[in-house]
Amino acid sequence: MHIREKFGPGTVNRGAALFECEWDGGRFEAGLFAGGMFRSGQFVDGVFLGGIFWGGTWLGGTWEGGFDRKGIYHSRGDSPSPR
Amino acid sequence: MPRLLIASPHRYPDLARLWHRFVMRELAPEFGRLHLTVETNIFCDANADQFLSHVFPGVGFTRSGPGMRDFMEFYDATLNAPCDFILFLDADTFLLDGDWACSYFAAFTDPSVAAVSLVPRKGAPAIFALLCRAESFRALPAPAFACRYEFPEDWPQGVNLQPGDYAARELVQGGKIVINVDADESSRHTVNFRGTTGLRSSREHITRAAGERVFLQSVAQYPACLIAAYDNVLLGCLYESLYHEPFAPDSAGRPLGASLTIGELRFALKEVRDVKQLESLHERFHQSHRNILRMAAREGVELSIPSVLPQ
Repeated sequence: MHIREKFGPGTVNRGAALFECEWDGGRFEAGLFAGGMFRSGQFVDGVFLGGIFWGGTWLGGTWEGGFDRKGIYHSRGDSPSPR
Repeated sequence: MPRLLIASPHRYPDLARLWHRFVMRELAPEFGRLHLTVETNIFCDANADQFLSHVFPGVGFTRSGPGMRDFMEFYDATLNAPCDFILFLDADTFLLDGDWACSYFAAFTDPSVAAVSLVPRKGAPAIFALLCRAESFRALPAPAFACRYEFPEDWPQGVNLQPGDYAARELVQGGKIVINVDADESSRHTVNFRGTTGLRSSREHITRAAGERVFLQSVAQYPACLIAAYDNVLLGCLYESLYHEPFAPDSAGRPLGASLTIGELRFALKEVRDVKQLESLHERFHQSHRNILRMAAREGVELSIPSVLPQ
């Protein structure tokens, strides 16, 4: 579990839970992204819950709700960017 | 006759059963006496198959689907229902005094009044118990109720507007009035167990994504989770005394296993070392304790409430 940490390019998440973290590059393969800022990188799988998807590529996973880079809320089952 | 819709998003039928009990006894009949046609609707945000109609007499159900995928879309979709007024009442908010709530309906004789917030958040109008003139909210660009994150480039110092905050701001800027009942008055007539549904859904999400151990670790990091866990203990005491069934059971049937069991909560509280934080939790638990006793008094039942804080 990580709280209020920053992760850069080269990071791969394979199941950790990130709370209020900043993700800037890297590959999110599994785990939880809650209440943080996803600046860049690939979201491949895992759960996105209540954060901001600022940039990067949404390839898959479970979108439980969160905001796009304009601050607009996207509901459960949506995705923040074209796949 | 004007139509009032009492509407609420729910995930868990046990909490909804308590909510329904108070709404049908304290609110719906009182609003009916104002010569309103009153309808009550529960939006099943999850577990729709567990909401059994015979357990909720007098209530209509809406299931999640296109246009209403979650509770956030529920608010705006409900605006399109055939009604003149809507009372949004959160799943964990209880109005104990129907007379008092109804007394605010007279405010709508002033056409500029768009809403009455019966339970504020930090002194401002909130969605917890919001009596709305539907027409005023329909005039706003959709989605009117959805939350927003303003200034996301400034994260984490941006502004996280909660559901309904944007609508209230736009209405006031447009010359409408949103009556905001102050916290002292509100607390005399209402009870709010904020975050109790959120904690249960968090356990589902976190456990699924990262395992149960991480969920239990995370709870200890966030005082709001500990408060919500204690509030679920209290709601469980009331629920079990009324229905003789466990509240928030997990798949194994453990009482509160879908929130925090009493043992898990005691363990998490032992991890709290900060004296000020413990004092704050003690005070907040005491407040919730008083509130559940007010609800129990309405029901004419006595509760046996376990102590959870370290002595």
